[in-house]
Amino acid sequence: MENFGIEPLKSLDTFGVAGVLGRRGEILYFPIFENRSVGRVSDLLIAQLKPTDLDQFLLRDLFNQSLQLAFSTQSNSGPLEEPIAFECGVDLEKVVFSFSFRLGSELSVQWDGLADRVFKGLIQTSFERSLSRIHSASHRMVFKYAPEFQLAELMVFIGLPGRISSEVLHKRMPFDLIFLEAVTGKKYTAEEKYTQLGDFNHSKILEKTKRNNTSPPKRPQLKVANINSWKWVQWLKNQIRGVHEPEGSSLGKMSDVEISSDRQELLKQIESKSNKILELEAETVFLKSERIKSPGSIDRESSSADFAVLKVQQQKLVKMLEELKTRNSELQAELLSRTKRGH
Amino acid sequence: MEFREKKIPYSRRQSFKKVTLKTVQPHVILFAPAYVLMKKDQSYVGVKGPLDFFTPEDLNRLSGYEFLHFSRFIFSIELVRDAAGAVQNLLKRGDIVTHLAHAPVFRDAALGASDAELSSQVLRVLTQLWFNHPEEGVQTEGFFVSAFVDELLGGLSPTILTMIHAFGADFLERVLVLSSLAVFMMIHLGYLNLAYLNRLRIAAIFALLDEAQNRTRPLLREKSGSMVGFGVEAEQVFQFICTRFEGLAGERIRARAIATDTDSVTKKFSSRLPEILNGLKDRKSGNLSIFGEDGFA
Repeated sequence: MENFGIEPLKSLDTFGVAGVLGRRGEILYFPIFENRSVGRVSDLLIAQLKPTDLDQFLLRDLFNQSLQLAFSTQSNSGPLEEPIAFECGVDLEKVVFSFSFRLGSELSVQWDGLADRVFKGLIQTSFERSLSRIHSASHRMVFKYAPEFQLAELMVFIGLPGRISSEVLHKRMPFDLIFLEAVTGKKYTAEEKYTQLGDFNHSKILEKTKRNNTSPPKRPQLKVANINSWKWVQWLKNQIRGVHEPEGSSLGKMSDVEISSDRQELLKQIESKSNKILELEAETVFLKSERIKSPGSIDRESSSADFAVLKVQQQKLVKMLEELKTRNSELQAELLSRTKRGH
Repeated sequence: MEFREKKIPYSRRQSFKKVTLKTVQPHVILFAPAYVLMKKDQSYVGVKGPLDFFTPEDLNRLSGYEFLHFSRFIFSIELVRDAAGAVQNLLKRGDIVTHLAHAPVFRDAALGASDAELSSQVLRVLTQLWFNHPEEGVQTEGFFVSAFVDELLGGLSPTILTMIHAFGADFLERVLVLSSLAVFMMIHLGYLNLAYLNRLRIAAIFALLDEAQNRTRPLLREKSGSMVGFGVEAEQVFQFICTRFEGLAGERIRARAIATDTDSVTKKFSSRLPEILNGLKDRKSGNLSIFGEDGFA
């Protein structure tokens, strides 16, 4: 098989782009389960490939067409049972997209003469039509298939102008179809640098306007806590003190001095738990407000992760508070019955 | 699995969490040693180790006791459970779509985080399971990975647990740790579909059962026997896990050791280490370990 540019293609008998990258190769990777956020994935990808000066519409087109082909072999629209492993390799002279996926058993492919038909445009099925379109739009296309595992890999090469001779770029290259016996194979020396697409600061990359103020946001005080929660805690405390008992209640009004030791203990517990819950709510409100006000000012990913942890902790505290509330009702009932007995 | 203190004097009763025996479910993996209180001896006696489970017969035998007592180590697991709960919340969150009254064809949508963004958020939560050893670098222990995966994906079925346990408690420990490690590593690579991860865990368990029964190399297979269904990287990850780790609860999972391999999946794993280190910088909680004063091993 012919090389593409000066750098030799190290290996085509394994899955992944590492085998076709030259010196200083870098690889972006990400598994794709569904088409829900594919648009944003491609936005991030194109943003990362901007320094290559490649036609962004071409890159998007090749990404979408290849992904559509990989999806259509398994599912029409819903989430995939088995993800598509996407890799984008870049070296000094080319960009390579790789989509590894399973060829659904219901897909019938006529392997004999496939490469020739796709190259000549003598297509017979929608699968071949998709391959032919991608082949036409790219500078080189390789399709690998491991029949035992039903796993396939579509590799799409785009040469960097000025790095690869225009003769190679404009020459219609044959479509390479390679059959593999194994899925895992050779290991390469640790040259390629991998980066997961999720590890980029998305808000920074996708944000169009630069913010002038880059200083970290001030932490809020407790006063921003949810007022309803605060009111509820006060109400609960008053219930225990008996301050808001209705007129004619047998308990009447009591000062703190008159509160039984049981109730005092309960008040202390509520005090400590409620402070914690208010703190958490303050944090939650802060994170929410920061996300709404200035999406670029804090790290979105970290705040969402913190938010998820806080949510779980908060649910626990709410549960504890509910338990205390129940205990309070029990104590009140007991006190009421004692008072009645006293009368 | 084995645990350090089989008998603890009653004077240390503050160290226990009491659970009514009636509420204890059979076939649920335990993540802390379980004790009963022997009133005659004034001591707590260990009845079940971590990474093991009670059978209905076990519970029947203990029916004379009102409570089971778990060592305070169980509180360390709370952190792991919180992390698993947080990851679940993140993964279950989708787009919020509402219909517009004036334009019923179109819908108003609040788009959730993209899968790439989710991956970053999940990684940040996962840092709670890692800690940075001053000499050995980023690491965790197999035990906590098992606890995390069990909480994230839910308990295994009684049938599967019984099948594994037939090969002994040590094998149960090995299966739980290795299958969980495979899932854990795939999450780090960005595989964030709970149904997929669950299928992968079951396939890894059956592969290890296969290995024990037939002395063959463990390979991921679907129930049908087909090897398809997990993608290119799952098998690579699983093979790596099986050859590199023994599957012991106390085994240190050192990120640096994983990173020395040149396989593409290990290189992908290594690519996430800077983010993990970044997350560890502002961590307030202590390091998780089953060893030491707070541990049980």
